[in-house]
Amino acid sequence: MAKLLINTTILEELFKEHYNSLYYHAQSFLSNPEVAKDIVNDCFEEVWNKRNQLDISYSLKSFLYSMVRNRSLNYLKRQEVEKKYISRTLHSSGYGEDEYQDYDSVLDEIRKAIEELPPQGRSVFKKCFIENLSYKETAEELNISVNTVKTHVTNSLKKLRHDLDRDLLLFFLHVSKKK
Amino acid sequence: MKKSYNHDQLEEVFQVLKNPQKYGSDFFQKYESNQQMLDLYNELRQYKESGQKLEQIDAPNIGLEWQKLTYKLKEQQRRKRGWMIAASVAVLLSCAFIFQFDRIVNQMDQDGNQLAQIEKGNSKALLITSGGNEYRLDEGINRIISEKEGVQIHTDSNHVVQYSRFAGESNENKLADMYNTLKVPRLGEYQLVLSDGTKVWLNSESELRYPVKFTGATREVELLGEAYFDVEKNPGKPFFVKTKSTTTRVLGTEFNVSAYPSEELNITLVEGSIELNSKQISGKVLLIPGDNANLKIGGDKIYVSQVDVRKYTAWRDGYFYFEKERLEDILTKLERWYDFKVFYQNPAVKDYAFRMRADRNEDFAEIVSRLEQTGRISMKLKGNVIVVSDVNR
Repeated sequence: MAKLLINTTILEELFKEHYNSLYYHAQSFLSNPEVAKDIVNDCFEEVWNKRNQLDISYSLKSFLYSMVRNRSLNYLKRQEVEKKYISRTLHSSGYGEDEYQDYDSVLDEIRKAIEELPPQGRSVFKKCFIENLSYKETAEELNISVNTVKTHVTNSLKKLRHDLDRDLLLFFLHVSKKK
Repeated sequence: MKKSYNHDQLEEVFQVLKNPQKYGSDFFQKYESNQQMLDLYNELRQYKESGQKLEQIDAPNIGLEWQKLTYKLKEQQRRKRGWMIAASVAVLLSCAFIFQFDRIVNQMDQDGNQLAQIEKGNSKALLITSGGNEYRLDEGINRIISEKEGVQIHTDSNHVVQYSRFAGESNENKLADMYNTLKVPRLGEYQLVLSDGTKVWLNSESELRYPVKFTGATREVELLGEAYFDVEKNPGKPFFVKTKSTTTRVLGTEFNVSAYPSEELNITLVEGSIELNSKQISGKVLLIPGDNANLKIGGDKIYVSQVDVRKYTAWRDGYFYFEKERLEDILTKLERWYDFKVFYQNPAVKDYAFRMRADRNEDFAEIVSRLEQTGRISMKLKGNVIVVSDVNR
């Protein structure tokens, strides 16, 4: 088994290549840019501190992804989030780096599906799904009715699920299997 | 697998995703055994992740983050090394080799002329354009760097970077996402004029990330290290300076921000008024001229007091100004401008306070001799390490 040796050059490459993805992963759990940045930075620090023990036969990116997720959830746990949820849905999967094997391509598929949404559908998608505004707030911001927002949400979701059925299925089976 | 939902459930999950710290706990408790809702959460969370990435919402400045990490790792290493030096010194002393140690120090004395060779800082910086290209801006070079969308960056012999020639205003949208970064290394300083006319002086080991043009409703820049801002007045478009722990809102004013990683934070207002926000405090702090806001490392309170602003802003005017400042703090600042490292033979000297005014153009030897003239400490050079000791021990 090849031993992966990390020096500062490799660390910098890893950092610059993966930072963005890991940051948005943390953000999706935390919705807090400062904490998200701190957590991603801490994960790289940990990789550096453990560089002599790291013998990684799987991809380092999956390792980083799962570390970011676990730390994000731990952060929320400290914020009094029910521990059972964490152990049930996620931790029980053995800190599964496996789940992250195809994660980038899943996100990429989602991105493509979003890009193909019609213009108004996309602006509603942005408010509801990305900024997570309520229907009422979205309606007010875009100057449309709540019912129009609902229609767009339904259509967007239908399209995304249609386009992504295969990928998401894989991912979610993985989570629910661990029940 | 058909995943059903209704609009109420969707909105419920949106709310959790938007504010997990507030609603996460209740949500997960409520749906602890409802796999369908947990799946919905995970699905929508992934849409959010991918969408945020696509739209680059709250995009991090990777260069800045990398610098923070390397600082942290260096700091770690230095602490380790510090312990090793301290341990070996302890061994030396306990073995009663004190006179031998003295002899070594005396030998160092003879190398006194090395002091004259300690390099001092000058104007230098690295400009990183939106395309990721890096340009070294060395002392006194006139050049024009072409950015995308017809933007030109001028650097001149006065060590100032300026932006100009926005070819038409039609491509505002494209300009919105163009950020540049000006990075000033140790032993460096540089000046910058932003697109709105705001002037920024960057001190050594500092970095500023800013948009090529301020196109939105606000003007925002991100700072690591120390900078002095002279903000162009524009009440309709507030100016924000973000550091790791604070956000300062400005209408048009002059102030200094010192936000080095692993050092306390100081924001000093020279004129005008600014409003301070930080995750360490709830609410806002309003500063009036002469106020300094101080946040200790790991502290959770911001202390505001009236100060002699020269203490914080002298560097911009080209001198050092220390008023009863701890030796360790003085030397940390000098270390950014002169090429040396410090080793304290007697840790107690770190807390000795000194008063000094010196030109940044002065040679390091001159500054050392002034500190030694106080008759309290001696400073001996070995290589580029200054060994500081208490003369009375």
